[in-house]
Amino acid sequence: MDKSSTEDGLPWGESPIDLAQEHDATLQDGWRWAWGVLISSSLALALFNSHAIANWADQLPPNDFTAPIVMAADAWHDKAGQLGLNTVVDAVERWADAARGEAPPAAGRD
Amino acid sequence: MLFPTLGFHVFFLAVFALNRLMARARDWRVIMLLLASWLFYGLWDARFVALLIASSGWNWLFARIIAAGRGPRLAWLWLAILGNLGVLGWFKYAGFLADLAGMPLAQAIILPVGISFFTFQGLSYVIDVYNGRTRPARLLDLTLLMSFFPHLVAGPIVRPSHLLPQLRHPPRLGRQEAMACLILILWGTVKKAVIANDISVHLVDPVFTDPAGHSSLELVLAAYGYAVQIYCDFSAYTDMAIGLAGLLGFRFPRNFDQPYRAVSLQDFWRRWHISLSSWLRDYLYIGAFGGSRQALWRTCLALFGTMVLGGLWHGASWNFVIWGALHGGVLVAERLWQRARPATWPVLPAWAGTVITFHIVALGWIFFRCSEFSGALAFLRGMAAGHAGGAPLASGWILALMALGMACHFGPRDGVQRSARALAVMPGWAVGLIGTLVLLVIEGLRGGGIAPFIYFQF
Repeated sequence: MDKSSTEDGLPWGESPIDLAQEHDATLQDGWRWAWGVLISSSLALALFNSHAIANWADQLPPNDFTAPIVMAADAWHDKAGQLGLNTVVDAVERWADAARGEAPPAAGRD
Repeated sequence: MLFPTLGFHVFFLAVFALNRLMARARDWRVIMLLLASWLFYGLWDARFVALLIASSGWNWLFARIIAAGRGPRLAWLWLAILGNLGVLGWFKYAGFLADLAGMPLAQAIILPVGISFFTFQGLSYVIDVYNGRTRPARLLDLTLLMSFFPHLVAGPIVRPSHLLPQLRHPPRLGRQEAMACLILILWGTVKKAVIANDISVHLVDPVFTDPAGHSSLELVLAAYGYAVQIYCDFSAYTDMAIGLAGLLGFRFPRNFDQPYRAVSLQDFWRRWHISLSSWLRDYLYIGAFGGSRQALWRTCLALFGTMVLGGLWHGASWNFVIWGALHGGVLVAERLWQRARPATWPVLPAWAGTVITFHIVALGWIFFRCSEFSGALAFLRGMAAGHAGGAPLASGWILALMALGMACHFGPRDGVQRSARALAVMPGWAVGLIGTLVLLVIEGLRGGGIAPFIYFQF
């Protein structure tokens, strides 16, 4: 984009995301690329961050509709633990607890 | 719904996909973003979605009347302003004023999240239409301006002239811009979930809750800790807001610019919550009080009054008034000193200006953090008393986080842009995996749940 352009309302350069686009055509379409980033990271997080899924499910209001969701999330968290998929989060958590001078939590986090 | 949570992650994926699909269907895209924003806001308290819509309708109606030029335009403007301030005053200041009058309200009034932000958006719209700085908008567009979820609850306050024209064009997103957005979101998550949260839980909250039970050194460290916490908390929110809006094709202005590097308080306000300070400058200091093109004493009064009202904007409390008065008083002193300083006197080195300014700001944050004036005084007395003792709360971990929060002030100003250029050449899946690794580390580092952002209360 032309650096002097103000057709977008906000003068160019006043946003932290203002970056002059290179003429490389592969860099023009950010939508598809960003979609790839978001989907790949979402899938990887679903695999390796079952903590977050279990925590989210635990905070749902308890009722007949949410009960199977909570059970499935907890089951996935346990399975991911058995498969070693929680290794990164668990290792960082242990390291952070040691750095804080705290005992590691016995149960799940809030 | 908080930004750094799984619920928001799923919500945003859906909005991102729909926004792309509707990129060329202008009205449908606006309607989709509006519905998403109301859902986002309604999950806090669905009742206040109606307030948001009513506020948009009020400002749209009066802007149309003012733009049509019929009747007393100034009177219509004042009516629009009074309507906005009336709603803000009722929700935010009625209890405070009733207490002052010795007639406390029987029931506390629930403060709608983000009311100060969307009210200021509405005010700037009608004032800008009156002054011819922006064209009257369609009701749909104005409602989105005031409701748009990335900035709805804690800013940045985006000017109508900055956002409304962006709705008229199909959104664009280059790969480097997208990368800059993702870096802002990730870095904001680190600042909020790791730095601000841990400093708050392990140092600031315990010490500010019971200043008498802690040593003077801990009080001093907690004061510094709060300075880092509020910066990391608030700048994290705006970083994420700018990044999220950017991924949807909207450019939001910079809201923080390494504020603790400021060499004077005037410089600080050019770097801290820039969207609010520029709002106060344009609409209050210059628009209502006349700015600097008048007698010096009137300029000083305008400056002081603007900062006191800026303090009150944050909440109905004497401590916010004192915080504003402290900033206003120092700004006035700086202005007078600029005029009176003998030309032959040596100029203060920049580093000394930075140190002095930081300590004035940190002193102000004590009043900002304490809910009662007596609490702030007890805190200050405790700092000055020189009490020793007790096992120190500030562990090496917390000191390291504080150092990290301060260190980001002294890195390159364009660090995000440089990193974005370097990483945007990688395939999307590779960036996704790097982002995942960062998020897994954040998940392990964050001590507990994510506390609401500090600025949600304003």
